[in-house]
Amino acid sequence: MSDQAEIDRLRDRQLDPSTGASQRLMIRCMVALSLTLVALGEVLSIVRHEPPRTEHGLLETLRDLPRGDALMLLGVLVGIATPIARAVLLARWFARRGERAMVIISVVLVAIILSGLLLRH
Amino acid sequence: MHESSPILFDLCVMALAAVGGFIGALIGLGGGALVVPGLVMLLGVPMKTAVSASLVAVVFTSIGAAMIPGRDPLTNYRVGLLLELVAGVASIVGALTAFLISTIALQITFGVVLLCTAALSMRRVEDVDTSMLPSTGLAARLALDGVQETAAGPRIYRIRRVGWGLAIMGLAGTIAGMLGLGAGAVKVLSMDTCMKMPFRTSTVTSNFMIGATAAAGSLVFLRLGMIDPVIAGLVAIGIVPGAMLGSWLVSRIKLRALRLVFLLFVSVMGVQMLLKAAGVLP
Repeated sequence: MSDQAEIDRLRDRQLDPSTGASQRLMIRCMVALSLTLVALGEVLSIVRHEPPRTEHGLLETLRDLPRGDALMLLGVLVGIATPIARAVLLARWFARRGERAMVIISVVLVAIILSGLLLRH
Repeated sequence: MHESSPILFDLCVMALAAVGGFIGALIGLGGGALVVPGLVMLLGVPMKTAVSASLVAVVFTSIGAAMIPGRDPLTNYRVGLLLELVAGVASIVGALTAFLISTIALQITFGVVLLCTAALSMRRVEDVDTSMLPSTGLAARLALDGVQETAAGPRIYRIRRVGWGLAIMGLAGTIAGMLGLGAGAVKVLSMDTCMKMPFRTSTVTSNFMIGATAAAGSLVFLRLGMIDPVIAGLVAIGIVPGAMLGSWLVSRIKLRALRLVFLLFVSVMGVQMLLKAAGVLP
């Protein structure tokens, strides 16, 4: 294979502009949602003079929605979910290209990240 | 300050994160290197709370940088995803270690790692031309090689020693999960020195990876109840604009002297953390 042919082949393997744009749009939306929830939670905490929480269990805190700090935790969760959503989007892109090995790697990575949720305190 | 003046404390957390994100982006160390010592030593936040908030901040630093257009052609997603398999598991192990070990042990590790990563960031890097080498092993099977745009035109780069890269990612992931750092310096070292990936491609790919590594560790901290949503949320709010401003500035001005000053500053923070662990500092 000539150098130019291989360069073209390798460029074809880069993320295409439309998928890249979709990825950026998704990230922007999720970051905006996340920071809005955090900011809203902070304002609510201040306005309502909510006492600080001593225990920060995930489900226990989320059960207290719409308490300010629970809203802030939800915002943090949306932020943490963003890299996971990014990996899912990449898995879909690899699937469209028929790259089975990369789809498996992406899906396994998502499973690894989410496995932290299976822990018990 | 947290109890006596909560609003002032919240503003200080946001300001600290903004400054940490800004300087972190300028020196390429990520925000955690400054956020953790700042929270612990300036604002009196417990070490483990600071580490978990910082890990959340690393997620936001990574996704903040991903919003900037023009990075996709530079990012080698295939290499990033493959290496992340090890870094993700290691991050979970690191987070569990942080939960289990004593605060003093965590402070000592943080101080030592901060000094090492600051030293790593000062190294000079030169890309090696691998275009004439054959594509081999896992790199060939997964089509990991890529093409880099240079002043002389496009140049192919071959990915070498994937096994070593994966092994170093184990270390990087553990550091990230345990200390709330992006460990980008170690990731870049693994990719450019070990796997012979061009430096610029390594840094952008590392930026993609640190978000996934930090997300894995953050979910462990969340599940273990170690994340204070107020502190983590405020750090996130502060770090995104700080890191974006730093990323914007770093590509526009020559910063070598300033970078060295900030790296020295980070090293001082590392020493202070060690002194705190030794009981010399309050």
